[in-house]
Amino acid sequence: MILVHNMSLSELLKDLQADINAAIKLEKKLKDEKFINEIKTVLKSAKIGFIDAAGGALHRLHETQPTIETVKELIQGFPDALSFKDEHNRVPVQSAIWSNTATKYLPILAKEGIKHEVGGRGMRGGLLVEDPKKP
Amino acid sequence: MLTQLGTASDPIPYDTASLEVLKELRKDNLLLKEDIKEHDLLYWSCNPQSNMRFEYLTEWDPDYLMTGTNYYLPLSHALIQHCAPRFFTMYFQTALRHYPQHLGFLFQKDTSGKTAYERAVEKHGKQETFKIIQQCIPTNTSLPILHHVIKDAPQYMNDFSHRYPSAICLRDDNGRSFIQAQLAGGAKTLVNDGIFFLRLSDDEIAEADPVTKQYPFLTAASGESGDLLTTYFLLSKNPSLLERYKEEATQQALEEQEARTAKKRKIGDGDNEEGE
Repeated sequence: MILVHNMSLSELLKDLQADINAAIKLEKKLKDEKFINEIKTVLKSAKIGFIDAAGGALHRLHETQPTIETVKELIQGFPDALSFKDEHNRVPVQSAIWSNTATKYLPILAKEGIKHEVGGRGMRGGLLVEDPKKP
Repeated sequence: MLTQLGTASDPIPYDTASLEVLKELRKDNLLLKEDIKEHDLLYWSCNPQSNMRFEYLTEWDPDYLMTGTNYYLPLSHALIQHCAPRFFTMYFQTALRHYPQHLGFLFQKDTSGKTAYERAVEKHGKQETFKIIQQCIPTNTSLPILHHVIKDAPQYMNDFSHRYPSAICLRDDNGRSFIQAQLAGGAKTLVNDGIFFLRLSDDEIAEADPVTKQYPFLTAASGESGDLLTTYFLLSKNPSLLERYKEEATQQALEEQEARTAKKRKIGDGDNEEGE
């Protein structure tokens, strides 16, 4: 575990990719349903973890200040992150309203949000969703 | 919320950033004109910390300053009722710029007939209300404020007249003097305000109203409460006005007759050309 903690993200992902490849090869040969199910559970939770991490990143745009292109790339990689709610129950497009350093991301979050129906159909990518904590 | 939020201590950075976003959202059709009404955007943005956004939205839909409502009240009333005086000051300044002819809706009535001015006096007191009004309309204004008062809220004339004494010399958009505006109001008669008529100068008695083109004696005669005593008094001050009126009326009738004849002739010539 210490080794894993010391690895960079790309090293960790490469390592994981090797594990995944091994599991794929074994899926048909091993005939151990419990093994396959446990791997599936781990990967499902990893998938959710990715979305949560990307969602968290979208809520922290006021701190990290990436370019609009980078935000677009992040959304394209993890579109479900647009609906990730923070501790205030807000989606990223709502969080971006609260800081003058994040408002510039509103249009991209809304435009991409429309494609993925954030807040539901016709909610303009979450722009029309009522803030859970109005001032 | 994008139209409303801000930082009270240093409002400009947030206001600027949010304004840019509003512009971009509008360009991408993510902010629509109907949103101003649907989401009460003028009400929420009418706040010193979102001044630029409020200006931007009012430029886009200035009509909403007049037609807007919030909590069943006209926008002007809602801001007085629910917000601090500085919010209404902001609204009033903007409304005066867009609608000087309606005096920034100072006398806009709610469904019960109460004017915004009355609500402001009730809510903030007369002194505070006039502080707001005088902040937006200086004493030496060129706005015919007293004309508006006499037309929309004559019962408050005393409150306004001593604060805007020079406005009595102004003419309104129609070219009416203050005296003419009072006469056009139709409420004055020799019996209920004899001093008013006694003080009229010869020039004022002989000056036709720029809107109705009528002399004061005719205005007095033709109002809803046409008053013969007042008409007689005004005519007695200058009997020649009746003769002048007759001449002008005859001349006008002749001109109208000539215009009708010329029009018929033109139509006749057109028919002949078609026949040929």
